[in-house]
Amino acid sequence: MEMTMTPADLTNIEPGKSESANEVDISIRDLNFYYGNNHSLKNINLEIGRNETTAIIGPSGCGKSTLLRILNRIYTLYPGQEARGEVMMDGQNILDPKVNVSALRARVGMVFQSPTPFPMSIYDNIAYGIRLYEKPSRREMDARVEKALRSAALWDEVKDKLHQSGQSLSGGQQQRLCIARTIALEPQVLLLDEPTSALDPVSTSKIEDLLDTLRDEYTIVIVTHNMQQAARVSQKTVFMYLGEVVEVAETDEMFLRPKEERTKNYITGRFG
Amino acid sequence: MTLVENSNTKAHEEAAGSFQRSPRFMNGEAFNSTFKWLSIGSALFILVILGGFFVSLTVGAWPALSKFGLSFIWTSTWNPVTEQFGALPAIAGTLITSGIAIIIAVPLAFAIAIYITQLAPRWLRHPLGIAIELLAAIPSIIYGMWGLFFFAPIFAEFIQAPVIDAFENVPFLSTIFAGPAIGIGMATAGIVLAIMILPFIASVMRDVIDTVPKRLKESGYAIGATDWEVTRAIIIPHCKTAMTGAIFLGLGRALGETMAVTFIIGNANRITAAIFAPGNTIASTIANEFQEAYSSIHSSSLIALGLLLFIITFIVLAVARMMLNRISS
Repeated sequence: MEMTMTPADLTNIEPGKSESANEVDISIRDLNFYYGNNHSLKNINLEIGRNETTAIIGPSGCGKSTLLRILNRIYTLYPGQEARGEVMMDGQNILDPKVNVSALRARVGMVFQSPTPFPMSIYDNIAYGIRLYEKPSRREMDARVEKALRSAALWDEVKDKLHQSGQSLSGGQQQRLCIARTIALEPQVLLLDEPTSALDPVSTSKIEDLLDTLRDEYTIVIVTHNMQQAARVSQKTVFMYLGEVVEVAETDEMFLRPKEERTKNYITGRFG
Repeated sequence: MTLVENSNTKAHEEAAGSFQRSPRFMNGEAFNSTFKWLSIGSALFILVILGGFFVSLTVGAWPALSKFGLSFIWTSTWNPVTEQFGALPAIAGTLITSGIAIIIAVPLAFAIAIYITQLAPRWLRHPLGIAIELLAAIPSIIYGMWGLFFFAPIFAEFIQAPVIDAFENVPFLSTIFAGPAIGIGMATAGIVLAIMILPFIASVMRDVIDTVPKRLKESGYAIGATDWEVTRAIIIPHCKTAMTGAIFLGLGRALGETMAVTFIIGNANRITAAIFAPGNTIASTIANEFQEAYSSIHSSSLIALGLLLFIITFIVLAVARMMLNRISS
């Protein structure tokens, strides 16, 4: 994993004050997406900053999830879906067919709308992904699992029942388990597709707190239909409408002084 | 036009005036309750038939059961002349042929289901699925004829004879792979049964695999797993119980299959570990003998066999249903 910042640099950054000082992690140029004949993303140009949280908002069907699903190429599971353009990450266009999707997905993790624990124990939910790439010793694996669960603020709740099924946890715990499973691979980017839309308010706020702590180590892109959530967790907000990026701005700026009329209408609840 | 308007207004007035009477032209409620009771009656009728089967089988089997007692199940004599009857060879034959069928059919059915749901190109999935369902619809007598006239001679020449020779001097295996190389026998019955239940198990497994939530599969791919890894770690564990249910459904079919088995099992009432030897199943014994059962104890023994088969398949299918229903919860 290339990290351009040393741990010392990281400590110098005050959380929440990481205003555009960050470098660009993912750079999207002239991206178009076709679902069969349906041109669902149109000329997207966007830069996603390293170690900050970018929220993508917009009404249903605006293409925000589609954009997210391009970043780990999960869309390639389905025939008839095609992305054209460039998505540059560390000097490589990840849309290039030569890019190995397993390698890409180990670095660009994804958490889904509803919690999707694997049908195995809590421990194995984390260990399974690690074992796809490495063969750590038993003790190392225990340490990796513990670390991932701690980072996902789940360790204290599950440490005594690591060998119970992951599906026995509550919805909010399951979602944190999915986050833990993703960060156990030590990715660079974390994609979250409406991660709290199936959760109650208490679980939602736990996940939001968690995202705040994870931002120091990961580039986070979150799709949300909840504008308060975007305002709470992100530094940068992207407003999309009908397959286009309408406006990109610092989150505070976007919600206080939207430049575009359509953005204003959306965030004041006039449509959406 | 005016007529309609009038009747409408009238209906509205009446409805507004009183909620006691239906404003409908026809008496909807009366029809509704007739319909309800008719369908409840039809549903209860199924239970009556099921219970009726059990009772009449028990009554018919009673002379044999009271004469031979429970030892009917583990006695291996079946002699109409001396009027001694025991079900053990038929039970053993049923279990051995069904066992062979399951051992062969399950891995193949599983591979077919995985191919159709996960690996096949999209345009091929539907036609393949339909082909499998059509295969399941072929009448069993055709499988029996095919087994006897076509498969048995080939099996005798190209499989039985070489296999018997190959294991001739191997202890244990020489006892299992033994018997006359004439093509008919328990192994042939088991293989034909496997072909018969294969499409059935495969199509139920396919339906089961299709119930795996899309997002769950995607999350497997999202950590970089391959098709095989997603199948192995997510799809199979997720569907384990329901897949076992599918296997039991197939087993239920194999246990009760009559025509195809009667054609090719060789119909010999004996117990042997040799799978190429001719044997008998419960269903084939009944099919072979019911016309010649002159004594009442003989026909009662056949009915007792039927009762046994009824109970065994009932339990197997009930277990299958329970397992399959777990997937929806």
